[in-house]
Amino acid sequence: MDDASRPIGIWRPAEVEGEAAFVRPEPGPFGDHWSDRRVIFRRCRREKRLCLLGESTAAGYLLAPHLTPARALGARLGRRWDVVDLARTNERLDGLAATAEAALQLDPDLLVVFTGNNCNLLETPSWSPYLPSGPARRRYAEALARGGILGPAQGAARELRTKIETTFARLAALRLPVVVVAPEVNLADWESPQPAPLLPGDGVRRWYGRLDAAREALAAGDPNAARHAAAALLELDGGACPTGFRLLSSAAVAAGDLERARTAARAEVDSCRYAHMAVLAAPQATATVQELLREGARRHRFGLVDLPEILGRAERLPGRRWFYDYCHLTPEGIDLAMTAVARAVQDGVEPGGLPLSDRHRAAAELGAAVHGAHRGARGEIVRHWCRRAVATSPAAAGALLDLVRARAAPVPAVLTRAQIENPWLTPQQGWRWEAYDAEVVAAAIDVLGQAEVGPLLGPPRVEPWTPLDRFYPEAMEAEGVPPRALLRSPWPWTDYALVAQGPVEIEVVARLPEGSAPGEFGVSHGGKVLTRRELDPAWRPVRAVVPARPGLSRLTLDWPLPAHAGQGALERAVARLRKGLEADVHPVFGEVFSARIV
Amino acid sequence: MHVVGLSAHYHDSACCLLRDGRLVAAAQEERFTRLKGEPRLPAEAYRYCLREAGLDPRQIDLVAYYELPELRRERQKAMGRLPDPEPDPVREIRELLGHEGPIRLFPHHASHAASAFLYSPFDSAAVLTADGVGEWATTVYWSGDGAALEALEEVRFPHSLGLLYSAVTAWLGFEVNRGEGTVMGLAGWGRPRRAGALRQLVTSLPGGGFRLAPDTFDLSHDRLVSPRLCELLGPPRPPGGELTEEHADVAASVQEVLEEILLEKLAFLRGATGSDDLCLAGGVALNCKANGRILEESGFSRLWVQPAAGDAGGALGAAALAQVEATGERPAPLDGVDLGPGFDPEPYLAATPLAPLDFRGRSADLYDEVARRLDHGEIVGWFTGRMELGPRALGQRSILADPRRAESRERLNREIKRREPFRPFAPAILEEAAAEVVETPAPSPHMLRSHPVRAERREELPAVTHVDGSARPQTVTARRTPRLAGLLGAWRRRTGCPALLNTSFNARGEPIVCTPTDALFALAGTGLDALVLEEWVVDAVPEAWPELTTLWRPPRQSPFRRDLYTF
Repeated sequence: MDDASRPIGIWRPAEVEGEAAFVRPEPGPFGDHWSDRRVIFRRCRREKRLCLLGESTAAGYLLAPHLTPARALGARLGRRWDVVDLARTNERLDGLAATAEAALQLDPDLLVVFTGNNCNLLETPSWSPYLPSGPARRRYAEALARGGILGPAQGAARELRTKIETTFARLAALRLPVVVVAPEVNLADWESPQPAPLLPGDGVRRWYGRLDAAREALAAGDPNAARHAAAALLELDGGACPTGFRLLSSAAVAAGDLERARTAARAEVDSCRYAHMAVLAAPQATATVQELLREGARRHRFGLVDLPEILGRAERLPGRRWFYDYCHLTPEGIDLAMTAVARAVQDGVEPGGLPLSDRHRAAAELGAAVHGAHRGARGEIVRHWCRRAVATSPAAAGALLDLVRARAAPVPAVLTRAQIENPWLTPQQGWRWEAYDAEVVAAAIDVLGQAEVGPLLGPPRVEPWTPLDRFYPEAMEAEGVPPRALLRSPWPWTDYALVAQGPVEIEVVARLPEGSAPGEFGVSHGGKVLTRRELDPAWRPVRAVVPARPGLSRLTLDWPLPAHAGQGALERAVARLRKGLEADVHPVFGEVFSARIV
Repeated sequence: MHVVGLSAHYHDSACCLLRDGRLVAAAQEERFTRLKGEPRLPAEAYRYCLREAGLDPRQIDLVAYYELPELRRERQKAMGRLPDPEPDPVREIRELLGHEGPIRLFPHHASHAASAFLYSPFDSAAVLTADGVGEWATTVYWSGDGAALEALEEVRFPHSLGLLYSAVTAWLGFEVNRGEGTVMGLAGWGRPRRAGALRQLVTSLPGGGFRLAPDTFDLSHDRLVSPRLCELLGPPRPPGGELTEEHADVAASVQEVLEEILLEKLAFLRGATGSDDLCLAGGVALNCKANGRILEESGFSRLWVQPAAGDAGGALGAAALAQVEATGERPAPLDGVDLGPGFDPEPYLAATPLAPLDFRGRSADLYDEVARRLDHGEIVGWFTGRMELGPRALGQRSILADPRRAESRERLNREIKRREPFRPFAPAILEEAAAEVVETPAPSPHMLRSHPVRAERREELPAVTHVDGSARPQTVTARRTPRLAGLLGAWRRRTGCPALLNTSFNARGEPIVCTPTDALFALAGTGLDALVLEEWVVDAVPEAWPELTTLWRPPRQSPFRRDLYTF
């Protein structure tokens, strides 16, 4: 073994069968984000070798280890090539460059770099109004004071550009051929709704009025009216919020104009920026990131596989055929992408794709439902993947029932009989999810029926429908951010899951944010208003009798829209941040201390 | 009237709730967040306290905080160690807890003093509070009478017995604010041969005053160890380094110096107050070895130590001061520290693949079964009733073992607590049998004093007799801790032995367990042989649990706790 050997990612230098090699530890029950290839021999046993680097999309999240982009690429390239899978879920640019540098020990002929989806969320975490650092908050304050709500995102974009350029320079310094894969994301299905940002005057009230108008027009089958309402909404927020772009995209789809739908969906992704995000969104490559990757490839004479262009040719508005969720590829998506990569590597590719058993396909589909729900997928997507999983393999129904059992238990899923004993359920189905899983449970009821699922729902309870409906640093328990004893709603509505055996009385202790004028607060159930009463910024218990039927249903708290939520609000946020205090750059509509069955 | 007391922003934040002068709930935030010594505002503990009392926030008449933030900030600024952003407890109580009513702030040491005297059984008493530092004060002498507390004299930062002990703790390679108990345990193994060197650092002044040499600490970093300390004691032991006789001697020396100065100053306090009764609080009051000596040598005839004597107890004190201020009445005496949440474990167990033994309605059988297991050398997790407040497990969240077996201590230290082999364990003894075991049989329900073990018992109880022949007993009554008393009775009937080894139910670096889930994790992650969850006994976990549970709660280092969930 060479003394100078150093680890490559998780693989440690070792001698295997008398040869220099790199060996990884056994993956634990939760996996470790890397490929499961146990040994990588330093000497290539084939004619050529390439290393694939990237994030979870490149690692085949949901399908790995049964099907991964590296395996698909190997199959397309044929026996001449040894494809070494060095992709890692949660990878960042620094880590990717370091792995590429270490991979030189494998004497690769080529590197394939498939990255970009993590560049929005994970690369610029210091651009947050919540980060518990006085200097970072003061920097955010100055960006906000100079550039308004978009100012911090511009600062983050500058930082990101530098990071990507630095990464490409490090890759170029390796003096190896590199093929860059610019990623595409799910433009058709994945929505990233965000609440209105702080807007001047009565902008917030008008914004939600236009949101309602656009949604009503869509529901009424009037895409033209929806488009106008969405455009008016975007005029108010200046494109700082993705919600209006999704409405535009939906209106264009309804009008049959896929080109405009694509443009609007792309704009939605681009406007969902970490720096001023209210609620957690999914990581997706923005057009800026895609362009930076293309630009870097051109500058350094790297090869380029342009997935936005390739997928766009296959389907103008790529959706669930290619993507399980916001960015992770289906088997069809992997095959399309890796065939393109194989063509960039050599002339001619091997025919046929990799086989995938129904069981592994169904498990990935179930994972798509659960993981999607944990990242904010709308109910229709969660139901789609649950249904698909059960259709692909009827045994998926048992796994879905065990998921419900695990989520209904008072202990974490990791301790439950259901989760432990069902080999279908893997970390990708949310072993570490601690909250109630209302969207998944609702989908299970929809797909398998109340009679089957109802008895598994556990004792009566009221739980947040999704914990992601909190501000994202609270939802993600960001380190150092102090916990709150109350829930603040960044939306004018807050959904709770009610599990009941029949009619129940509930009590919600709620109030409006400090400085709010009194306004009407309502509790509704399944869309029907149960009670309305005036609230002000003092805690009040509000009780209502819910005519619930046995099972799971949705309780919604409706908050009043403040007349002038944005008046001076940005200035107040800047003032707080300058003092080193965290600040919201989105309105808070209401606060809940408790919601319970009495 | 409902008064909430809070402590936070240093270590061990906590919340308590007084209802008409009676403590109805109290808990440390670490038990909920599972981060040992959690310093952040106790949002979870606050929610728990209100839930326990069936209250919503508008029913809280007053929130009392245990410190004066402005004065603390002044001291931090003077030290050049002002945090950025600066904590602002009043703003946080409004914004993070949502409290709308009045907020009262009380000085740190007044909160400590109130946590001791105002919850004690004494009508009047002398009170000593001593810790690392509050705002500026480090040691304060008080006279308590009825609902009133009068400060007689105070010693100010940097002259601090707590910091002196912490600096030596750091010199010995242990963590400041966590390792002081380890030093106390190590002290029993040494002789105070370096006390002379340490005495050079402390100058006693008339009355309650004392001064430390100006170069005793290096306050520019958390480890505190100064060149002067190294000059006096030699090079510090690196964390995890070999422990020698010399280290034990240094531990014994700092313990000796601490006890000397405490005894000297308590003589002053006794003279100043003329009281026979003494109350103690502040981190220094957790030094049970010193407490034992105080009871025996200080001349005070009765001693009451706040069971949560550290900063967590400050929450109780602040609430008591607010109660007195509002009503003129002091709160009811503390009647046990089982003020945390209790649970019905049945639904927890039902969701797991476990097959627990069910003893519902058969308490006597349960005690016999557990006694049998302990007699066979098993080490048992014991989870009953409401969780204790403070650092000691007193029979609600305990680990129990046979005190007659030396290997109980070895196994507990090595496999379960994963800590230094010299660390001692304490006995739980029925109050009526205490005199058979220790030489000072005064009730000690909170395990806060060391006493000599009777000579004839020392060999019989090797797992709970420290190397210096002392033990830190918990005296148990059926009124306060019926299940533990029931078990002790069964144990004695079976073995003739009056004591059980009782230590806190936690693994190294973890807070004491709070919920049945925490207990099941501990069962999976340690070498416990069995777990008693109320009236169930669990004695085996699935093969995969140890690995799964360890991985499920990884160290909290990443920006996002759930980073397994892909980005």
